[in-house]
Amino acid sequence: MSYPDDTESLETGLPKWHREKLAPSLKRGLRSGEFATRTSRIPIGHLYTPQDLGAAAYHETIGFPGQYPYLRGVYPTMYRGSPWTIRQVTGYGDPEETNRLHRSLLEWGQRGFFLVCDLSTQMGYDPDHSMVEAEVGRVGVPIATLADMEACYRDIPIDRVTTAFAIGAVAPVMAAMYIAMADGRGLPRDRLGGTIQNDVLMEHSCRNIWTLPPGPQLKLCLDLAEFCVRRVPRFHPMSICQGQYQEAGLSTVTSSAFMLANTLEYLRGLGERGVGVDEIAPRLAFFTYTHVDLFEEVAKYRALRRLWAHLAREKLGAKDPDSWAMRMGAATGGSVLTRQQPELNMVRSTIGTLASALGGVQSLQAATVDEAYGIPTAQSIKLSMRTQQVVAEESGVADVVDPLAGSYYVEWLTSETQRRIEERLAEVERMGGALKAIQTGFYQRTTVEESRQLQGRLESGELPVVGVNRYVEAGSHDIEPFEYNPAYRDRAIQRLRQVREARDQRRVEEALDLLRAGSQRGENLMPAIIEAVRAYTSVGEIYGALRDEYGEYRGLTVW
Amino acid sequence: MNMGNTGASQSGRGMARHAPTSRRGRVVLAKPGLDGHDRGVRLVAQALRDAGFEVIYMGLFQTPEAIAEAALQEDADIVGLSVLSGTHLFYSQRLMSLLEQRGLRDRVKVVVGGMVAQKDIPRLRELGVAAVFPAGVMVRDVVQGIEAQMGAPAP
Repeated sequence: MSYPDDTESLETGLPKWHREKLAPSLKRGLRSGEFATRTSRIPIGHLYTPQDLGAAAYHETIGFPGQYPYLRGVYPTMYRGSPWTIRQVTGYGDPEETNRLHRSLLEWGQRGFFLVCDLSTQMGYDPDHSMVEAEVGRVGVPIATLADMEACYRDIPIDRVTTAFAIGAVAPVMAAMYIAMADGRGLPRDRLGGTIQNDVLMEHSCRNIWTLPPGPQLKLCLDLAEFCVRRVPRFHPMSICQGQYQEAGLSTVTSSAFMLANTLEYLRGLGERGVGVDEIAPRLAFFTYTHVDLFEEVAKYRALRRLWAHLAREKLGAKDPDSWAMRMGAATGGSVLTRQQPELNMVRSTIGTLASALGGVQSLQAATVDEAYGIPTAQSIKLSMRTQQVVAEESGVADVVDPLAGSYYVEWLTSETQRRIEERLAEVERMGGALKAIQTGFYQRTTVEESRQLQGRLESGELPVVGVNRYVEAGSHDIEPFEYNPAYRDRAIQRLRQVREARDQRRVEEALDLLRAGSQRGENLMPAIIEAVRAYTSVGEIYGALRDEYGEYRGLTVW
Repeated sequence: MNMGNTGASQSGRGMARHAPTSRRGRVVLAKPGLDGHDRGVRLVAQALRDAGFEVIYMGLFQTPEAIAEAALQEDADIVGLSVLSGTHLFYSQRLMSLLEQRGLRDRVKVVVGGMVAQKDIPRLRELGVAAVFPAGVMVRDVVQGIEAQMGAPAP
């Protein structure tokens, strides 16, 4: 795939340039340190030329956007049709406050929400549980019953905005509430859009959010996916995550491989239920984080799309082109932000935004300036959103499809990244797949190892971070983070109490019996869960019943 | 390095614990509550172990009661809490009073690491927390800070 006319001049010209120009310059030396990508340590050469593009034909390796191999993007028009969806995080102390933020975001021009629940909700506890005394409304909104969900979305047109839910282990219950809310508003289920994270393998091996042992948790996750494929066809019932692994200190390569290995595991499980790859794959969403090495990140996105297209078509036998297209929602990384000189975090977020756009993602949350201190304030969310609007509308990045294609370096790095991801993926598959690799602690040990290396490079100064190991300034640079209000918990308990008083308790008991019976029979539990949430059964009551059936899980501590 | 804990003889420490690996002290590390961010605490656990401390990392989802109990059972010199969900004041206060109830307040030093806002550092110190390591500090500085605590008087 070189430029035919240039082949000869390149073959003679490059060695000549090396000899006559480069060698004398090299005698004066280069800057110290190694040249390699930031997280994956892929050695970077001095200069890339058409010789680095490989021998394969253009249409096979690069091709066109909106068709196999999707390297250049999942849609033919990409951001010329419409820019990526700006999806800043929401989910505050209580449903009313969350609702206010939702309305502000709509007013500011945002059309996608990214709803984060508090940890008690994410782990299936009610706000009055003894374990969650300090947690209610702390890092997101508590949603104990359908009433809380309805309050978050009061006067929000859910047929015109989409929400991505970061809701940990309770995806089936949150999806059930969202569906029940739509039913209640008379919105047909086939018009309900949105994305639910529902990535239990990641939760178990990385983010450490779980309610049940991995096996039953996986069953529930697949119940939701199967149900949505058949009944809520516009909904993305799984958003499979690369980003959390990268945030935990894994390289772009390893984190991408784990995401793909998890995906293959889910598809195997669904296949056993008779859900064909062409039924589920077009509904899959992928969730990624973008850090600050612009080219490493762009290469990651492009490599992932091409690799997934290949896997879906060749390994999984998918026939529908929609199955081959990897749609990605992204966030710029919080783990690369610093407490020191926090205003620089906006620069890091801007680079991440640019890299995500150059990588061709479908939606983006840009990290906020205050994220190294706590959860973001409404003002810092607005700043991140405006930053994205500047990149989308002023920088020109959204005016052409896949602008970096054909860059010798970017194409070479894309191929090299892909090759390394494939190797890592094969390693997991040889172990028997993702579930086995997680149950035996392989993911966890790899995370320990890679994050330790990363920290070592940070502390030695080999990995430059301005304000931390370079250009350090004395003094504190504190900023005012979001202030937690202890009344959130009281109000959450109060709301739950009111719901419990008002609801038909017999209907709740019947719904929970149905749920227990269904789990004993090994049925798909989504219809029972929807019935339970419609009866205003709480998250804690539903997971209480499931924990009785399936047992609790204490996790695997690897360090 | 000072052994720190002067109560070694009455605390029932076996001789085995005075083997070279434990000479610098015993540290119990835990993540209280539901916060699952454990990248930092695992790095600190490794680094303390490499520095010669005996480290007991209890893992995730610990209650203050279980942590206080572990401090007693493990005859800890230092208890380290790792909190990135903003609940550090709540759990530190709870732990300090449980240590007090067990008569460990003067024997065990509590350190806290994680997403701690600057204005919370004096509040933690008032509760009796010996040292605070906000997110962004280097792991080697955490190790040095804990080494310094081994020789310092109770706060």
